Amino acid sequence: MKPGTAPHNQTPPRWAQRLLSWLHPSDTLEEVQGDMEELYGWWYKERGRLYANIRYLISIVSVMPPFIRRRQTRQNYRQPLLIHPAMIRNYFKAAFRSLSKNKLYSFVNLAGLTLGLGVAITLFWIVRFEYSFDRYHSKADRIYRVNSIDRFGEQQPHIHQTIIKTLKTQFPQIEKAANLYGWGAKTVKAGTKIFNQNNVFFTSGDMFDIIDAEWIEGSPKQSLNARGNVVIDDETALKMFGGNAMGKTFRFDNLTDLTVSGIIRKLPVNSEFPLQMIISWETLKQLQPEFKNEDSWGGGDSMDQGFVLLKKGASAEPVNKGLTSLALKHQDDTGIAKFVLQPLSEMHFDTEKDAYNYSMSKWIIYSLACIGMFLILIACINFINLATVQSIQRGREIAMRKVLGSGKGQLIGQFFGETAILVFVAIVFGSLLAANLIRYSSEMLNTQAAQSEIWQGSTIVFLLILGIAVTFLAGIYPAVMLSKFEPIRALQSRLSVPSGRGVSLRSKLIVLQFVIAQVLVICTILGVKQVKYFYSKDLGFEKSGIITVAIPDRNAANCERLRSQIMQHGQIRDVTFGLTTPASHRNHWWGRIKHHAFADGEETFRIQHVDTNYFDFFHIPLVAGRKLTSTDTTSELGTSKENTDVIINEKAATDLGFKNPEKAIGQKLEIWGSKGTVVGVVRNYISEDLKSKLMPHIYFYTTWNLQLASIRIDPQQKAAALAVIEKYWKAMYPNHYFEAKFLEDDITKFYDNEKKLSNFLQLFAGIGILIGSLGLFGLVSFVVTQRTKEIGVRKVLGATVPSIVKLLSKDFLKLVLVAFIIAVPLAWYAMSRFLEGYTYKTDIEWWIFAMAGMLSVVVAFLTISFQSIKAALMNPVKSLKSE
Amino acid sequence: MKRTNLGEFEEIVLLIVAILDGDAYGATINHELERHTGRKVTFGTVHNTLIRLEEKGCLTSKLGGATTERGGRRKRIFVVTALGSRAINDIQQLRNELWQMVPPHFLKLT
Repeated sequence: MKPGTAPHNQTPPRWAQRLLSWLHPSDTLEEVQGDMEELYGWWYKERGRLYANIRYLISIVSVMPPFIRRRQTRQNYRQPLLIHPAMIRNYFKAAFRSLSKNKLYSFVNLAGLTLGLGVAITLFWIVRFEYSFDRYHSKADRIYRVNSIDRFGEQQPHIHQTIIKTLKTQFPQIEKAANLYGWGAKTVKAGTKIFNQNNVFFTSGDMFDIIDAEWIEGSPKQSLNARGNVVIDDETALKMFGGNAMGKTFRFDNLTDLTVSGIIRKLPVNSEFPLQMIISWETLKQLQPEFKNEDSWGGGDSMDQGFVLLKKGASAEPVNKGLTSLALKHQDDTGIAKFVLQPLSEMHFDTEKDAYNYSMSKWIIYSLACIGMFLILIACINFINLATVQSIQRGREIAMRKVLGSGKGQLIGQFFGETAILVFVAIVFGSLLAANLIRYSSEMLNTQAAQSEIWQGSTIVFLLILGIAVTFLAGIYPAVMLSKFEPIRALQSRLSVPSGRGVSLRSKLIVLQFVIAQVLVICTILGVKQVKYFYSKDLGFEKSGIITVAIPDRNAANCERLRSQIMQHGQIRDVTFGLTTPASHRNHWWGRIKHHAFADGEETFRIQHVDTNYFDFFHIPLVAGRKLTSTDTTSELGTSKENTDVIINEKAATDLGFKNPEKAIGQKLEIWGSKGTVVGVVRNYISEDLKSKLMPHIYFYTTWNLQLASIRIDPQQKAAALAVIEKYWKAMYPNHYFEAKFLEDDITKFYDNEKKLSNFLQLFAGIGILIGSLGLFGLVSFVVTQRTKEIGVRKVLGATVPSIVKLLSKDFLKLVLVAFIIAVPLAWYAMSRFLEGYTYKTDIEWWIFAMAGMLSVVVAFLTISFQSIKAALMNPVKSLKSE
Repeated sequence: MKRTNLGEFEEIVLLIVAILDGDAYGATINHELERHTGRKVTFGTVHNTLIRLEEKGCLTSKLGGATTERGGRRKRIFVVTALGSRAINDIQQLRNELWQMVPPHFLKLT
């Protein structure tokens, strides 16, 4: 220290001072800076520079925010109560005025929000419905379906009845176990009336100890014990007997008489157990004697599923292990490698397995939820964009409020309040829209949500949460931005110019909107294309102009009679009989075929029983060998003389190890303990939906299992042909319900899920684009009003109309293009993931992207040009005259 | 009697402000505190204590005029209020009473 220097001349280093001013709160900065500078002088004088610096730094830290105590600003002015009625009235007035002043923006906001929220609410209902499946059972968490995995890794839900018996007797963890055998639709005859009864099931009373049902008459203990007992639901009772059905008798499938021994309330729609007619298990044993066998482990009907109720606290794992080890002991009988108990809650989402009601995969639900959120996001972006451009007009109101003592918090509250008003009005409209939309949901998607109760408590909670979330999302940016306005600036200039940052944020949001919309459009186009591909794909057999009717008694003589009767009529071209048509939804027969060429010595084949005309009728060409003749009968199967001639398909030949199908001729196959010789090979065709792989097939000529007649008709005379078929069929089967189907319709039904999903996507994409365009429309009209004078001056100076339109449109179209560039890879990725699930799929082609891009550019341009052309055509005299 | 609860440090700061009598502001208070008690205190502690005392009503403050020293920055001058002076008086009195009650031999031992 130089002698004589006054202590207060010693000042702390610059950087330290800057640090202090940086870290210390501004209200007490001045005094603290002064005090510390003085102290610094003293410290310096006492111990020198280093000491002073260190103490100065320590002091900075000690007056830094968390440590510093903030001086409270003294309130000289007592604020009036914030929720004073006058103030609230004023808020409402301001909100109402600003909404009605900008009718266009309010409309755009409201319309966008209503559309977005309406769809989101619909989706909420659907998702809630799908998740509610079978949750209502009082023991739902202890109910499991017995699933198994066979040697080839195929999962299957059906079991052999022996397994239920084993579970009941050998597993202490099991409280109840029951078979449930679904028989689809059957004919029932009550008195003289014939009905087609859906949802026919066989089970024992134990099933109703597992799942919940409300019994109107009878009880699970007594109603399903004896042969001939049947329980029906109240709806069926009303349909068949017009009311009191207890004790009444009806004819079932022309096979047996059943007596109503119990009535239950119709089970809820959100159940995988649509039980409407429940026939006692004893009756099934009588109708199909193989169900009496409870010792064998082999076989099993694919319609027979097993359900168990575990004891409280028991775990499924020991049961899985025990069953699996038992299955391995019976390996000669069964192809099952592993048993797995599947929790009831997962059943509805398991699309791999046959469902009694219907199943829905989780990815569809997740996609729906995502799309709903995206639509809300697009609507919120509209709101933010329009609010920020409007803020310029509201600048003076805000400045005035600030000058009159309004705090930031109050302003933010006010704007949130305004947003909330708009959002909740939109929610009211949106839920009205949703209540209408949900009625069409079953046409849009494979769901029955429309039949559920939609206005539950959780809907109200959801609407509230939705309202708060959307208010927050849409309102936070405008509220914070508007409340930041500095009164001086807003009042001083006539128009406060929006800052550069705001503009670019708006652009980003527009890009985001159009990215979402374009991804949706691209996915939609591809989805539609995939469905078209399904419909038009050559399946390998002729499917047009074919009517199918059931042959209830499977009697070959009756088949021949029917054939000769209807063939006399000109409208009927050809007839064939078989187990099923080449492609059918249900009634698949499978069998394990033994041959030394297979990896495990055996392989699962699909079995088709056909008559001699089958392959000609469906135009399925023979690639080797000969066709089946009526001497190739399988009636001697299982006897010592058995040696049946069979036909296989190309896939089976390849699996046998023959690239050349000719070589497969003469191979000996073993099926169900008897021998078959391959005499012919037919070309592969697609026997299930296009999602599945090709299966090896084996064809037998039989007379005992022809369950379906396929009839080719003259497509010009559909009605007459149907009448002919109905006449003869009804004469032959007077006790059965006549139902004719077109094969093409049947095949189309395979793709109902995809078809409906693509419908839904079309709706979403449309709404996405619409909301986005609404926002764009609002923005453009704002820009046009802002630039009215500029356009006037330009016109006076000789600008042409096209050049002005170009000027106004260029910026916006650029954003749409940027969005397109971002959307393409996203959509491409999403779609290639989606198509991975299909064996047969359409290609992702460039024109899809081009089309989506064109579409959004055209829509955007139309939106923009409406306003910009209007502006460009305006007479400059008008726009320049007024001030 | 309603007592204002004062901590030991608060009491000392209050006394220092009284001592400085009109010339009490952050720097002088801090400086005098260190000089009289011999202990090092960080400025933040003093600053916070002053604000707390003010909230308790023992002190008032106002910003002084612009100065020529310390970069022309204003000082915040602290003055003891009536409540403040009663508080230190009360403490003083209480201490005295307590001292009276301490047995004399104890005092001699220490």
